[in-house]
Amino acid sequence: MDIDLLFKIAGIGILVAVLNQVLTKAGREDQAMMTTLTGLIIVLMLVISQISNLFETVRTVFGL
Amino acid sequence: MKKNNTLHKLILIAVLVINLISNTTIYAEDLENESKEFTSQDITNEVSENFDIDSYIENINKYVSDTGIEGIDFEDIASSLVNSNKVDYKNIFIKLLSFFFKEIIGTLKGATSIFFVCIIMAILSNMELEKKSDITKIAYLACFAAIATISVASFIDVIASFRNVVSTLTTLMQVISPFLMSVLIATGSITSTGIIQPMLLFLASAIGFIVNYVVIPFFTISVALNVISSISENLKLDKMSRLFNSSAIWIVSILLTIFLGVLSLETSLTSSVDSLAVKTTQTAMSNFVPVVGKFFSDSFETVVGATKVVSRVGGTIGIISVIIVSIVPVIKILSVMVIYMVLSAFIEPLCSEESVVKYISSFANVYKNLLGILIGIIMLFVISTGIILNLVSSVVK
Amino acid sequence: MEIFKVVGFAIISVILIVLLKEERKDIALVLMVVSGVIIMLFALSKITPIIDMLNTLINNSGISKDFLVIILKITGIAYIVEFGKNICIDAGQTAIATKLELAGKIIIVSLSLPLIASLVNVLTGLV
Repeated sequence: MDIDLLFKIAGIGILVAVLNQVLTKAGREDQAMMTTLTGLIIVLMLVISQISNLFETVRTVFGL
Repeated sequence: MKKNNTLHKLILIAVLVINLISNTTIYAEDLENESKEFTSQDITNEVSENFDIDSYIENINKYVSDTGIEGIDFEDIASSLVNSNKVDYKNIFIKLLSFFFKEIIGTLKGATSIFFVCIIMAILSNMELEKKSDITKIAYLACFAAIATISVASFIDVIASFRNVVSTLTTLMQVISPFLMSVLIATGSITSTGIIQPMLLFLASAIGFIVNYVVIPFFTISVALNVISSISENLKLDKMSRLFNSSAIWIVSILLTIFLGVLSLETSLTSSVDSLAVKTTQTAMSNFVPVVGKFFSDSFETVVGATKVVSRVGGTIGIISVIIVSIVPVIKILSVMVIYMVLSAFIEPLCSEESVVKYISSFANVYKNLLGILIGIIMLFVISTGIILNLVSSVVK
Repeated sequence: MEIFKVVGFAIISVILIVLLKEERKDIALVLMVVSGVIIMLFALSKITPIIDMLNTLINNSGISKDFLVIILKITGIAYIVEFGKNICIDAGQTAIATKLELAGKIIIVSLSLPLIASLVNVLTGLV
């Protein structure tokens, strides 16, 4: 029960949203897009390990 | 003259020599050795030899031991019946009981596999994510295929043993009935025999025919319809399968009622005719034939008495063998039926998928009907043998 | 009791997702996936003793194990496919969800072929 993971992802999400807003308002749209992408990639890397964990557990439990 | 003398002497010497050579001796008749003492045991023995009761008992022994029940010796039962009119029921009971337990354990093992699969499916189905989504339906289908395979396999097994027991019963009846018929004729029930014998044989073969060609196919069709209607949600075949069940029962019960009714009617009608004929003959013989008439009619009664003992022995052995042969499949079907009923009761709260519950409970219904029919057929044979035994004792009192 | 942890976790994740849905739908989607994964992991860890018990039962009673194995596999496939399908629907891609479901159904049927074949065998043995 990693509630920390949730908060981490949520935190990154909020951060990215804020940064996006700030950079768009400041006129640097390309940088805004890059931060968005970076945030997404970081979040995905955090998540992929969990997903592979899930699939491995299902495989062992159900003998697939 | 001299030649005649020599001839005479020669003849004399030849006769003497022949007498000395030959070994024949001459006895006087011994009256004591010839007169026999007639005891009732001897009469019974002779009568039973006439009716060939030994080979009858051998036949029954062979058929009963073919079904796998060892250790029940009908000759012992026969001799104890003849002597003291008591059968050692306790001994038979104990032997049968030990055989039952073996059979029950074997059946239980086979039938609890269904129990397990059902429980597994119930547990798994309760953990599914969404009740009516298609994926879970397909998963149910696969589970159901497993359950259906196991239950239909055990059904085939039960039907095979049912068929076996009916054919064994038919054969037993065909062994018992000639014996009973010959006894009936010997005690004078000629009219009854003429009517009953063909009827008994027809009864036995008709039951075998009906079971093989009507009852078993009906139940098989009903089970197949059951499976199909539980697999598919659109095709509803419940009522049709129930129709096949009920019609099988109806046919068998009508048949049983007709046969028993006709048999009892015929015996009561013809027994009075026969007893009249026998009494008339007896009176006529003892009164009108001068010296030996009384002697003949009295000895007829003695022989008839001995025949009654023999017939009672033979009939009782027949009934006992029928019951023994048929008890085992009855127990088998009974245990499977009980397991299915318990299973359907347990599954109902566990499993949300009602088609499985319906499937199991209608399977239990099929087994219940099968059991009822089997018991009905056994009763039919036992009662008709009993009626005929009664007939024997009622003609000549 | 662990059930409280799970429920609390679910509530928190729902709130966070709603929060982020307005701003960054993609991050909200990732949040959905993660929270679903974690809850499922928790549930699966609770299933293991049940499945072990079933396995022991089947092994001890001497019935053939094949049935249980196939049924377990099919259940596992059903779980995973449901999970993926729901996420697709939540993300608004119902077409992909349907295709995924189709793929799952086909795989389940192909896995259960031996079961259905034995059923048909037994049924034709009746006749």
